[in-house]
Amino acid sequence: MSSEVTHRTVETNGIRMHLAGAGAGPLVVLCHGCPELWYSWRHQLPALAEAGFHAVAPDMRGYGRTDRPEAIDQYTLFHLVGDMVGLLDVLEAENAVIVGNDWGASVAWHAALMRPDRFRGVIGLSVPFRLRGQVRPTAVMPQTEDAVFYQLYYQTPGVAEAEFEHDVRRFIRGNLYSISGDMPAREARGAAALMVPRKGGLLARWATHFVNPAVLPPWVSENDVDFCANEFARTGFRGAINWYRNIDRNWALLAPYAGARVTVPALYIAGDRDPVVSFPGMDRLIPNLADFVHSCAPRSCCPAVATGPSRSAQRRSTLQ
Amino acid sequence: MTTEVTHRIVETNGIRMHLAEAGSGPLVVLCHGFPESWYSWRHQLPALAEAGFHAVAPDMRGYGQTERPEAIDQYTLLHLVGDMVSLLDALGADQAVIAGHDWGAPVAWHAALLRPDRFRAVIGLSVPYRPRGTVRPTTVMPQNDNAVFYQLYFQTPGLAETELERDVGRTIRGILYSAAGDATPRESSVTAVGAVGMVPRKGGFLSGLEDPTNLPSWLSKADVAFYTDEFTRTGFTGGLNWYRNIDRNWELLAPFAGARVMVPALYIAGDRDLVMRFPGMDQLIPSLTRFVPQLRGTIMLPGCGHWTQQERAGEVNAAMIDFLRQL
Repeated sequence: MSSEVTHRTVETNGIRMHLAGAGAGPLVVLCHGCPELWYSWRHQLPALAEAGFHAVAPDMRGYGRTDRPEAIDQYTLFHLVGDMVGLLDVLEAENAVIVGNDWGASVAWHAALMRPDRFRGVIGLSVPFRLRGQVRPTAVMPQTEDAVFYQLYYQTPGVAEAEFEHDVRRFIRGNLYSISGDMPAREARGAAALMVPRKGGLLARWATHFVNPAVLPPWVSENDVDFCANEFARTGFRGAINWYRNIDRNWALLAPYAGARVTVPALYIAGDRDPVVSFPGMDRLIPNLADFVHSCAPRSCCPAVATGPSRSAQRRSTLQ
Repeated sequence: MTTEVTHRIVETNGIRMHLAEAGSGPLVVLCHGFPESWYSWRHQLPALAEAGFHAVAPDMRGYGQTERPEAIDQYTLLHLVGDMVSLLDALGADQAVIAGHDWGAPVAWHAALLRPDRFRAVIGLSVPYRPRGTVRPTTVMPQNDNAVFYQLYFQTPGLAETELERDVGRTIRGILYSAAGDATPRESSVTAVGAVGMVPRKGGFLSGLEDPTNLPSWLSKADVAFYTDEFTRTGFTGGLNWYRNIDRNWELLAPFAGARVMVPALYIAGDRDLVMRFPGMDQLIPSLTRFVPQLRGTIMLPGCGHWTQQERAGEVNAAMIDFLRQL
């Protein structure tokens, strides 16, 4: 069986979507996060193909060689899950297992929540399923006189784009490193590391929390950085950041799912040095995930692994 | 057991919602349509209570004594289904059977589609479950040089409300009468064969409606007065805003392309209901079990028009209670 990665463009949910795929067999859809690409699954595509699956990693809506609709409200979770349902239709797959990392995990969990008939299993990396909260999310995100949670910083159209696009390669390289497990531990690790100064933006944090290292860690190469930097240099970051600009809209639209649980078999994988596991509320959520995800396999926390792919994450990427 | 109808206000999904309710027992939620009120279920509330159910009919979002958010995008099906989920929470009910008429029917069908764990069965009156189409709905609604489908006429904010609010009493009488089974279809009417739901580009919505001299037997002057008072106070914008989300709903429901309603269901309509003659209904209704596999029955009431549960209260009550008891 060929484990070679091939590319094509399909029409799904009204947009043109670029896919990388490998293998044949039961379908596994891989949803990347922010600011990433299909390329974040480069180690999974051949491994899953080798194991007898048809692995497909799209450039998600707003990214890479997929369309980037102009309007912010075209990036709700309903559009994103709709893209994935449309993808199954295009691939003529009755059902699939859906996997997501970071923002892609939210897409995967909600795909499994909304269409358990199409998504027979779900694997969430980094971000666990979160029950819909009682209040509008941005209303309770951390902010102080000096700094705001990065998701608040992303709300104003154009601000973060301008900052990230000023030197795309530097941002990509720094971002991959700074929230990886290789970033040296600092006092302000975790949630505090994700606060953006009101004055100066993310750039003001380069010296302390946002580091562009002299030498990259072994799991990421300069070629990898080049690939991502070239893509974002071409597309900009607006599509990616627009996902964050729908956080409150998603919350309003998800009212029908208040209290709803994910009922298909599920696996959650994260790194214990991933800043996401230190977000407000995660300390209570993650140990109790099985309360909201009925068939969640025992939590797998990978020591010293953050949002980047790792050997141990690969080993655990099969549905049990 | 008391079958008296009582009223209260609850907080649901961020808005204050007025409810009329009767009885105790398993919960049955009743969702009215356009341009209506909890009052459209006045015959069902005591009958369901008598049969051993807790029947609850809210003024839906935008209507009556319930709040009417300003922004049009606050009236999507996801907001409306969210209101119903939140209503169950407010009433402390794990589950309910949900019934809906006219626009309330899509709310009920989608509540059952999205939350089969909360809505254990569904009853649709007049409007059947429609699977999501492949194209933006307003792009395929009928229109010609002289007239547009009424749902297109309702799209422009302010336009229809100005017409409907000019003489609310006449609007209510005209709509209730003209869409009833009692109306005599006229050439120029919105219910006329070949022109169902078409609004003349010159003349507006009411020009196609009859203002009857005598009300049909199922509708009293007091009934007309109730609706007239409510809409005089609230206006029609809240109700019209539901139509202004038809395309947005279609977009947001992309995850549900091809999805089927899996809980037990009942569909009731009148054979003189103009909805029966909407484009596509002739194919959809006979094949409804393809999309609602647990459909226990389609009841087509001869001579009944659009106002199913008001025109045929006795038959609708009996059918609902029979369905509820067999769940």
